[in-house]
Amino acid sequence: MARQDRDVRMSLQTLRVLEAFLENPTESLSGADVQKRGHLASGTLYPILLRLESAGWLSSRWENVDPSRVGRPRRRLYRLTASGMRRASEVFASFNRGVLA
Amino acid sequence: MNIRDDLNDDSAPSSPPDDWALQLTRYAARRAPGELAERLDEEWLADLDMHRGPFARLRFALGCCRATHVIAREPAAYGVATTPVAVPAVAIADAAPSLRRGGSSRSLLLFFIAFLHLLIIVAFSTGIHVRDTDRESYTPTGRVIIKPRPAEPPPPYTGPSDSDFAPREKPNPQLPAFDPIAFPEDTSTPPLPTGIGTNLSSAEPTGITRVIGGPGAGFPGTAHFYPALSRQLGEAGAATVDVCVDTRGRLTGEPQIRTSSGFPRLDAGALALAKAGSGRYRSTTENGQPISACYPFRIRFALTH
Repeated sequence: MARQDRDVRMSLQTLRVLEAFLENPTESLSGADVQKRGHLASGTLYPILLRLESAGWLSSRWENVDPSRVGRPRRRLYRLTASGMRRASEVFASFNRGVLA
Repeated sequence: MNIRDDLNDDSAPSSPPDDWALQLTRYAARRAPGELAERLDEEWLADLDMHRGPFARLRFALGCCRATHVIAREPAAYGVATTPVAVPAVAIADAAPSLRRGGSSRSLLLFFIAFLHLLIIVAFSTGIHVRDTDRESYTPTGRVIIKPRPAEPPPPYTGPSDSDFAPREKPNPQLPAFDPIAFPEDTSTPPLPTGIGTNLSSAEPTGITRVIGGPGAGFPGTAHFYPALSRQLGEAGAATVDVCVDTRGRLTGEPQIRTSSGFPRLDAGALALAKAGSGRYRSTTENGQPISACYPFRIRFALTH
């Protein structure tokens, strides 16, 4: 998947996804993890994850487990990229500017 | 991929809703454009496995159908190459038509989805009610309507008659103009601490006329202190802040929230506004002389459309 550092249209749901990742920026989360933290429907969540990944804000990889051994499928894990962390922080900082003025 | 085999053998759900959820999820994944189909197939099956309960799994599967629909409408926005491997060259320009093949099966799926929605609504009416309650917190005026600021009951009137107050109701000519936040002078309300958000002129048994202070001329408005995220989330409400003000209208201590607006962000904005107004408060006066005193006043954050 092509990854470029480009702008992403912000919506309340996108903010919730970013907030879930910013709670612990070094943590890798599966779609189900983000869904639980952000209280989002799967129909909303996965397009956002793919859009953020396509824009270079998130990167993803397969979970490093053997499915036959753990008895469940591999999960796709997402985490913030360096530029994604910076861009997401800027977004939230801009929202707080009104309080800090 | 061996995952599919595993799911079809050992871990295949036995109850019908579980089976529907599995089939629906795989159907949705296979309809994704380009090389995304294989990835989503495995990813969604793994995430489906993390959902407990047949109806939670069904909801997840239905969401996957919607996700596929959204992605297929604009695959380029999701970084998907629009050149499906097994699709004829005619479909290269747009992978979405692959979803339109087999119109009858698609109609059947839509009927099936509608039926499942009805089933879920009936089965989880209580749960849906809880979610609706949560959603109200995002309506611009939800908190204000649901939780109106509790009115403090006025104490029983035991004071002198109206005629006793008549000489003391002269307006003080030295008072500055009221700020929009302040409320008009009210001579009928009892003294502090019950006069939230009002400026009071009351007579005490000793004959002292006290006028409670408030935001004075040049006091900052709420516009610059309305948290941007609160605007985005539609949070609105009023917080009551306690302030202590000296004879020159400056704060002598940290403002405190007396009554919360119901939103921590708005409370923080109210405190920031109360601090920023230091030096622009009207001092409380006794017989026209400014004194240091503490009093509450109300700050309302309202959304304008």
